Amino acid sequence: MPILPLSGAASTKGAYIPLGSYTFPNSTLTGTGFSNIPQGYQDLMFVLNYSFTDSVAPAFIINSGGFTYSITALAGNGTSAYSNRTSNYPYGLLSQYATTFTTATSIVNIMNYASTSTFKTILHTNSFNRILSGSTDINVSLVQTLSPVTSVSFSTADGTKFFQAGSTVTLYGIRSVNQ
Amino acid sequence: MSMFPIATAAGTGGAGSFNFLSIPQTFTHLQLRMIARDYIAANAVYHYFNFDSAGTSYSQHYLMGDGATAFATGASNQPYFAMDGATASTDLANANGALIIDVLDYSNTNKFKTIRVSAGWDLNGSGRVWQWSGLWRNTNAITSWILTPGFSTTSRADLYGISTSFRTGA
Repeated sequence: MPILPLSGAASTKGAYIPLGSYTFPNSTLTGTGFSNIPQGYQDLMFVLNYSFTDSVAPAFIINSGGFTYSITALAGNGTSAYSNRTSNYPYGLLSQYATTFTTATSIVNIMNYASTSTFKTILHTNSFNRILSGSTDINVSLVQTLSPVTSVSFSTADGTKFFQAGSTVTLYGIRSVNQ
Repeated sequence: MSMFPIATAAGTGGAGSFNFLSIPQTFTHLQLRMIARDYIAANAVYHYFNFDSAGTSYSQHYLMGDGATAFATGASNQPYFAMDGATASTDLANANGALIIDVLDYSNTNKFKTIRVSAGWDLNGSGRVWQWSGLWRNTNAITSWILTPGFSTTSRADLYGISTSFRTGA
């Protein structure tokens, strides 16, 4: 899995500062990641536009792992609304619902990512739609680490299936005042 | 369109509020990003605009998941927005709730003000996640925004303005 160095924020104005972006060049990669994340922002936001080669949930790991992850999810699939939970996991789930072939969009907000006094709370959404099926979900995840987030990697949950070529991941830092 | 930081507030660990006063009227929309842990054993985030907190001008509806069931409910003619989204002081240590609140056309004097809220907390075995909508039945431009009841010292709220025209900003 390639880990990408990030470009600097330079003189970009506004609160959303693009820090890095990756486009999967082929359909043989199980994931990607961003390392050396600058610590000078308030929140991080990832935007993923992706699909997989086979049915699998999308996953993420912070700082190479070693923490406890949990998620509370609220979802609708065009027929019903439902809620699920996953606890005591070794990695995070962007969504508990699998995505294949049809492009999904995931927006991930890691709040207060640089804090050394709070666990990391993540608000994230994931949506995809096919002709006869689809799913949209909003999730809150907890990563039980007081360490600041310095790297994030995204992968297929089982580590064996692949991102489709053309899938993209973009990282933004969100500045507060005086940042 | 771009988003610019306006102000930030941090919790004191006791009763009190996040006060965003004299909100500039030069943006089109507002966004509030917040992590919150109540200073008391509650999950509350109460908030109101322009010191309007005693009438019946607010209504809200939500879709919520608790990890097992999806719920929907609402409330009308309220004195302020009464939302959950913070962790309680007695919850898992170091865990906070998160809220992202959008107010579109906040300075428009021809519209009531609609808010959209994404919020949630997870405690690794329990949790809530919400999508809220809210309405403040007032056409005044929003010039202040107060959030209560009081939050831990690790809580904070950051207010942003979203511009739809080219401008240099923060």
